[in-house]
Amino acid sequence: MEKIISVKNLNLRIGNKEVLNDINFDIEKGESVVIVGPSGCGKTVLIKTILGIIKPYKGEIYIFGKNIENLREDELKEIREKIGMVFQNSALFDSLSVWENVGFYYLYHTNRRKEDIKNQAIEILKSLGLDESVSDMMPEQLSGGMKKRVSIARALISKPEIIFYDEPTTGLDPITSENLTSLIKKIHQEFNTTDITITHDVKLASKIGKKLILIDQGRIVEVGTYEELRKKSKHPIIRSYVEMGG
Amino acid sequence: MKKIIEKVGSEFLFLLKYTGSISLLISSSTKKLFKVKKRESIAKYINEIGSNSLFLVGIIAFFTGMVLVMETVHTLKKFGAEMYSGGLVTISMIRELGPVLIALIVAGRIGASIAAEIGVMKITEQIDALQVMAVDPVTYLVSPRVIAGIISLPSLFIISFFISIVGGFFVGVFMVGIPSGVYLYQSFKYVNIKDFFIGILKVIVFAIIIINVSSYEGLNAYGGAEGVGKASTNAVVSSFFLIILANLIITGIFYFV
Repeated sequence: MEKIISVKNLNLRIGNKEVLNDINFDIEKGESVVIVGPSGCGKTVLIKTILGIIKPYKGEIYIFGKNIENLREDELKEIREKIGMVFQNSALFDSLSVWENVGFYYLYHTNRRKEDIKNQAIEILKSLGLDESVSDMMPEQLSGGMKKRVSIARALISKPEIIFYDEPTTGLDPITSENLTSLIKKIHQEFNTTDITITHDVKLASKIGKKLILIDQGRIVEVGTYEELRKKSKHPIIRSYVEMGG
Repeated sequence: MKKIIEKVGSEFLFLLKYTGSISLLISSSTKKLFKVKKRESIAKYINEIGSNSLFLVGIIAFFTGMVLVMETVHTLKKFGAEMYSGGLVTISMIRELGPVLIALIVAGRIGASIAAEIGVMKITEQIDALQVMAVDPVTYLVSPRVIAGIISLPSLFIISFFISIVGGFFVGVFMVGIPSGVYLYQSFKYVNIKDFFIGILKVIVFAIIIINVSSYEGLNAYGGAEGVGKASTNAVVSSFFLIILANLIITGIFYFV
């Protein structure tokens, strides 16, 4: 299988604090990987470092075989065009309508007609279970679950090969959370994307991840399938979920 | 004593680091001026920075023109020189008061708003979302505002200059009794093209300072609503300080050295 992301000996400091310590893992094309760990363990900074938003002080990150540290701005742009990200709090642009948020990539990078982009955005919104009328709304008019779906639509519009989900079900009610979990699985199957999800929710991790990477205090402590971790892991976050019947 | 030296030293280092970071942002946003893709955003920002400040700038320029004549005419009268009050208004407005007043008004009105808007975008990860979508935040958020500022502030400066003459004219002619022809002749007699261009240069420099300082504060905001509040306050305070400093340097270079 083709390695799509490789993280080698990654270390990150913020101020004097060691946030990530000697992180190593590979993600293969088409995999669905969940990085799981307690809040504040360094999951989000890990994703932001992989995406080149935060610079590590040591280590290498390869995406599509290219070391992102050595890339020019246009080369990094080329890689980012193949990546979609769903942020924890959706991160929709407040000043743009829903369809402008979804079609932002094309509105900014191309000279395509606005009508065409809007139609494409509406199609994606519909495929994610949102009504056409939502497209002209502003983000503040949407519920938390709707915002997440719009955020997923925005990530999907450029047909990415890799999608990052940062705490996709945080702050949602159980039913919406369940629906969103099914949606993430459906997208993974239909679009054949490589998914990297970060969460503190072991239940979500067990449902969507074929491979789980358990992080604690900036270090990888366990790697394996949920079944493997369920049997062998002594980490409290896994044990407490297993004891609850997971 | 040691503590005082340490405090002064750390403040000095902070100031060096801060001005260095602002200079880097100025350099980056200037280089990217020609990479701005969406021209409609420039029009939107011209409306925000220029058009929406026009009324306030106009009123303040009108009152400043009036005040300058009110404060000086009695002293000038003692020497029989009250007809020169018009010239005093124009010289003051074109060299000093005009550029600095406009810059301070815009810094207070727009600087805080830019810092708050970009600060909220930073805290809610919208800036990260831009980066993930291969959009450079400086090209998208800062450079269009710099272009809008470079267009808006000189326009406000020219308009406010004429409004201040009207304000001075109102007091000088209708309240003091200087003949209108004499007042207007004296108003323009001492204005030269060098003063005009230095005034324009000043407001352009001030525009670059206001937009970059405010954007820098927004881009470095952290810690929720409190962080956004701090960024807005810092944007205004730092802009005020740097405007006064830049004014001193430009005035020193062109009128003193």
